[in-house]
Amino acid sequence: MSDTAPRTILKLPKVLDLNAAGRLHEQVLAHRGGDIEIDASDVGRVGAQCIQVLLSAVVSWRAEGLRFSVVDASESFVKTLKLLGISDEALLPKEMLK
Amino acid sequence: MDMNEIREIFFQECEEQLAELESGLLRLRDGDTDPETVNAVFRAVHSIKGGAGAFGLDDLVAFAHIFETALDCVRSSKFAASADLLNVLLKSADALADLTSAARDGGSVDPSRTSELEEALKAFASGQPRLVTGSQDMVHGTAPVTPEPADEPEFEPVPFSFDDFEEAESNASAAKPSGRNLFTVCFKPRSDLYAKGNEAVLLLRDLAKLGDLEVHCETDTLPGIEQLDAEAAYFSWRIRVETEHDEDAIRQVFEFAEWDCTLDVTPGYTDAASAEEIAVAGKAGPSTPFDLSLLDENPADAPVMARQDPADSPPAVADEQPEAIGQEAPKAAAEPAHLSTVAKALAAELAKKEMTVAAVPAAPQTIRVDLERVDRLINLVGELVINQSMLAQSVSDSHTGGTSALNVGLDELQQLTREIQDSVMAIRAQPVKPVFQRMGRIVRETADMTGKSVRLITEGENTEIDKTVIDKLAEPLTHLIRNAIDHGLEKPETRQAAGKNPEGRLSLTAKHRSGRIVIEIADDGAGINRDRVRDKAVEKGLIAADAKLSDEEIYNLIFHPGFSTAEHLTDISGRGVGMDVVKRSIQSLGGRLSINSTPGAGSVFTMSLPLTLAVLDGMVVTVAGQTLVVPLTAIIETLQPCQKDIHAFGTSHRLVAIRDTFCPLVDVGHILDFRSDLTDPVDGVVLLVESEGGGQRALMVDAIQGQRQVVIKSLETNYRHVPGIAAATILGDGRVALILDVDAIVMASRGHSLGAEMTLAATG
Repeated sequence: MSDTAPRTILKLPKVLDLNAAGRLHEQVLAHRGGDIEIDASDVGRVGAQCIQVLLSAVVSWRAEGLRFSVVDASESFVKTLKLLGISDEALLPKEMLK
Repeated sequence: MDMNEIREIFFQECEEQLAELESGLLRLRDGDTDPETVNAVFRAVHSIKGGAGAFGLDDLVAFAHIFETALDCVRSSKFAASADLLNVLLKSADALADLTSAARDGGSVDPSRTSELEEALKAFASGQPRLVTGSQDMVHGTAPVTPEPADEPEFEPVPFSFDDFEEAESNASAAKPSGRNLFTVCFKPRSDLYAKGNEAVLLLRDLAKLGDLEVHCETDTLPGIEQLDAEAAYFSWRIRVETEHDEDAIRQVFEFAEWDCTLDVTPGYTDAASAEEIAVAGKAGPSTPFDLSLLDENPADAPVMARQDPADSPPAVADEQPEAIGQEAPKAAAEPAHLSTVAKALAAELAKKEMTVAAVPAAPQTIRVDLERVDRLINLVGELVINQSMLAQSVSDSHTGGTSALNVGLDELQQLTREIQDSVMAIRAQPVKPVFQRMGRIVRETADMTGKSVRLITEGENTEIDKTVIDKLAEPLTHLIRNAIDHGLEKPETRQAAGKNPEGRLSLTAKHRSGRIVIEIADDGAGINRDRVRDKAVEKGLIAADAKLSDEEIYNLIFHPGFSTAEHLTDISGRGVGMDVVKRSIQSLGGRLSINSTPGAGSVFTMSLPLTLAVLDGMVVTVAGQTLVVPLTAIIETLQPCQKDIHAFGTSHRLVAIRDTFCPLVDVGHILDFRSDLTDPVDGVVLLVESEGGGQRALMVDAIQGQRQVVIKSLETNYRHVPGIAAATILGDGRVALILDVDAIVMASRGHSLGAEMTLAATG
């Protein structure tokens, strides 16, 4: 399934705070049904609510056999995930979490 | 506004918070399980602590802090609010009230009392509530700072898979430096936390500054992407914190988010306890040991998360910090390079505070007004009422009938005057709730002192009474309640033997009735022993041995100065304050006190108070050429008797037949000594009145002038007490008229002379 579905790259903005959570949710929902890659290279600040959106998306995508991956996470993004105790390998490659 | 005014406002707010605190605790004791009740109680103590800190009231802050910590344990469901705990919390609320009063008035509170409570509160907060064997027993001893998990029998292990955590813990424990404290922090934000600008990431980052963290994020409640509310809070965290700081430091991290999250800080680290606290079941993800280097921030991105490579980070400072620096010193302060970081952290904290403050919904708009200003306004309104009355009287006396416009204008003036008066009186009206709440403490203390178990039930707390009355209610209520517990209620074993609930019931009720406020103090004790009261009265020579007295008259004997049927004077009854003083203080408010009692079932003391002390609706009557005002609330009906309705009774008494009953006829002019002879009832008018004791009398007056609103002027203040007269007023024509004390007249008609009745009630 994932081989045939269109792959989308969604570039995350620099600031993913409370105000960004709703928009991120909409953006992610808009790409429902296909594999998606999240470009987190620019992320300078990310809050817990945006992480919630991303993690929920991971679970939902995974449930449908689709790919949802973060391809180029910034240090801030990785550190925040670690700080929050999030270590879902689907969200970040395992090596990035070490 | 100077500092004294601000301080005064703080203490006024403290009173409100203390009332909120007590009422919340009482609700919890009565089985209220609403989390908001616990939150309200917590907030009350927290607010007092915060304000007290600003004014440097250290004793108050210290006690409030310990109190708050114990309450937080209830708030986070660490343990249930048991009866023992609530007993301690209520006593602590009393102590907090005393500390507040001491801080305001310059007094002091017995340190042994507060220290005893502090120890009990600490014991609860430490998770080792070793109380309580009796209602007055407190825990002695200090709670351990870091109790070992194995020593905490409260936390029964529950099946829960935290394999990774257990492993991490055992590793961490092995490497644990000596002297560091271990805590488990369970943190579950609510949506409001984010909405108010707080951010879990920042809180966790601040927490990480205190020491080493292992963070476990619980994500099980996270819904699918379609069901997700992007602004809701789904994550919760369980964090193992290893730190040189104490629990307070950890709590301070969450200080400005605490209203919007569930927080539990537990000394030690136990999976089972944590699982219980976090109250979520199911699988858990792996824990993530947190590296301090993650805290280093790139100044350009502050307050965003760090971008700096961990490898390039300066070494973590926490472990290298000398212990001598102490807990108060920020870790980064030791290194100049970190000063900007600290400054930024403070700025971020400040920003968070401001955002939190901004998000708090606006309180109802109120102003605090000096009571004297309101009193002045009320006096002016009283003068306005009199002037309006005089104006109407002048027009009436002119015999011109006035023009139509003039009469309409006078009517409108009268209506406006009444509206203004009602509005002004409403300003002074206050619910009796604060006074009733204060009685809760009196009940607790008296019950403790007498070894009785008492439950206070209050009703009608929102009934509004004039502020002047409220302020003076506390004293008579206190005496009546002490009396009810000390003399009225039996010991628990006696009650049990009599087939009653060992716990006595004392109810305090306020309600409006016939334009007056009625406050009842009812107990379900043994009731007044009429024979004993009577014997005692005979013994004291108050009544003749063969005197025939009604129940009401016998009960009224206890209002005689120095009258007591108690075998022994106790701490409560031996205060030198008798029921006579209680009655007198109620009378000074224009009120009345009556008693009803049923042997074996208890007694009811009924206090009847005027709704307002300023204005009353009265019927203006003439008696022997004098003008009197009879309060309208006492009058049931008026009638002109016929000769056939009048019946002689004995040598000097007369009855008037009113429909199917006979009612004693009272010649007001005769009883007040305005005239020596009884007049013929047929020549006058009869006012059928009901006294507070329930008895009806037909008061005979010469003529009725009309119904009028009058301004009450105290006779005691301006002249002296006059038996049978409640107060005075100024009529529209400028004359002074006396306001009749209907109850005193009724009482006097029962064979007592007016003077004797008043002496019985009013002398000390």
